[in-house]
Amino acid sequence: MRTLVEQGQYFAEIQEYLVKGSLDLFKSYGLPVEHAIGAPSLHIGGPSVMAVIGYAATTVRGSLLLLTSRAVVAALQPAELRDEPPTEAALRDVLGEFCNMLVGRMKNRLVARGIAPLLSTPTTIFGDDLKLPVPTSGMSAWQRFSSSAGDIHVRLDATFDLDFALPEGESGAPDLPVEGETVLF
Amino acid sequence: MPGTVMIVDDSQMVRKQVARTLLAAGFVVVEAQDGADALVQLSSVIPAPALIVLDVNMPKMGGIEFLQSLRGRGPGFAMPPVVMLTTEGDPKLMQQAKALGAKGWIIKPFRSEMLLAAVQKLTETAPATD
Repeated sequence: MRTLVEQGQYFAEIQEYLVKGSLDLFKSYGLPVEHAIGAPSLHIGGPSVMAVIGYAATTVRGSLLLLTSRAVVAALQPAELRDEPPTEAALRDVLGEFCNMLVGRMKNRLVARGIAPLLSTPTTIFGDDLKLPVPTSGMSAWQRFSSSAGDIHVRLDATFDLDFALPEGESGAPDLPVEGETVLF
Repeated sequence: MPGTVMIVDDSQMVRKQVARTLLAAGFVVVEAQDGADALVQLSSVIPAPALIVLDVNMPKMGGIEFLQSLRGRGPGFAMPPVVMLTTEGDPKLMQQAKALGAKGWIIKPFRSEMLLAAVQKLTETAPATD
């Protein structure tokens, strides 16, 4: 059985993967960002887009959420796709795919440590004046990433079973491919 | 000569990115938004695609399930080479895809030149297998 302190340490380690993944991912799409710890709850004024992907392994489950302005999502679009004004569907799709790539990076680091969560497909929300309260169960934390186009908010929610453990190091799977790598069978 | 490539991904952004890369290299491109859509289109695409670029996590029918469905068509079906394009790097999933006939695995975000190199290699050298 793990203590709350140990679960908090695991949660912090997973968040480190998330922060590193976010910094790398947004930069690779031409939008360098700076990281800051976000507030426990969030109220975003103005037109926004949100994307959520759930994950679940045997002893841990939760979700990853991205929330930002439509202007930021438009800036995240690959340059070759910016030849026409983005539609609502396009903005939903872009943020959903970024959420997918980010949760994928988090999962791949967890796989290297022996935890292989299954992932849902993205749910996207398009709206104004979005308010997200602090979750009432499990652990939750916002990370804020500032860019020239505006802030991107990333929230990780996790509920750990008492027997959850994150094995030390990534020695369990040394040959894991990394993002951008091609493996031909 | 480049042939037809089917892109199966629920993200329009990814389909567009892949399509632009392949169209610029002379390939003909058809798009499907999930595995179920791809199965329907495979019945109507003439000629059959020379290669399929396939996501793993999709609504309705995911990439692994799609491969299983193709394998289930039996020895009379000439399965085109399949390259998985996904955020997943789980070795178990990779082995599963390989066992079902996939020929390659690329982890998103992809670089256009690497995707194109893989597609060109597999369409030039890999005969259709059943």
